[in-house]
Amino acid sequence: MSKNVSRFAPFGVFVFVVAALASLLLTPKEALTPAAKTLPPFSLTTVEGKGTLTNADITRPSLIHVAASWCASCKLDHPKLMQLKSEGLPIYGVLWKDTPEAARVWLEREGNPYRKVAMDDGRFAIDVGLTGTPETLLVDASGGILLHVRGALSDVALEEIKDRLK
Amino acid sequence: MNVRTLPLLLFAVMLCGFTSEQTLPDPAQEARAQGLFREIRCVVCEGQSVAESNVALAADMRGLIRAFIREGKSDAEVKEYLVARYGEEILFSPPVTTGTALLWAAPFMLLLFGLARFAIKRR
Repeated sequence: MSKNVSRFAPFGVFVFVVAALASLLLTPKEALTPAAKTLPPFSLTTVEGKGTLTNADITRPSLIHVAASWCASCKLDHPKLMQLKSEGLPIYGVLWKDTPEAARVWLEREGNPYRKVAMDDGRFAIDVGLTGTPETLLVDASGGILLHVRGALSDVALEEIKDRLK
Repeated sequence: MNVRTLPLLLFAVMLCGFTSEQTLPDPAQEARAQGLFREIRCVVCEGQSVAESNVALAADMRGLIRAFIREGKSDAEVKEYLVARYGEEILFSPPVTTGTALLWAAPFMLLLFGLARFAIKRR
């Protein structure tokens, strides 16, 4: 009996360690949990050049979509954002490392799901914990970040957004 | 141009590539910045620190860290700022918490187990 135990014990330890580590890994829903929990105070110039996008614009649960005209995978979000827009969800665009000229061409060509679109040269991105584009934040009127979707919007992410909006 | 000036010229051109980023004028502050760069993970490039990474986000982080040092923030405050926005994973050596204790302990546990088995077998 003790011979069998000592033979299988290393395997048992291995299974235990793997199971414990696996429990630390993110499940799909936990992957949407933001690290940065609140929006920084921000004031970004709109793509037209005249207005600003600030915390005051967010008066109810909304999406902030961080994207760029040069970002290929951002196109994947487009139809989903247009759908959400038609359902009445306010969506604000923050274009990261982009130029107003390229942005205007992109929005005209693809369609514009955003109530307002503004430009960020990098500080806003770091302040919300951006790791690339596209990323989508579900934010509320008090500036809280409820969800942070990294990469294009998956079905799991869309479902979670809709759940939170109920 | 004689045979010695060409290598020198190429060396000078190469140096230009390394000096295109604005470093801090105070060498002690720049040294602190470089130290911090090596401790902060580049969130875009797997395994690289912001010291090594060429991507825009890493360059932005280097600029921000330098600005913080100039403003008088301590190393701990700089790290706290980034951890608040990216989580502990942004540091190359995550602190020991209840969640990460197993990660830290596991290699030692396995080593001890192996040594214990070896010792028992020898008896």
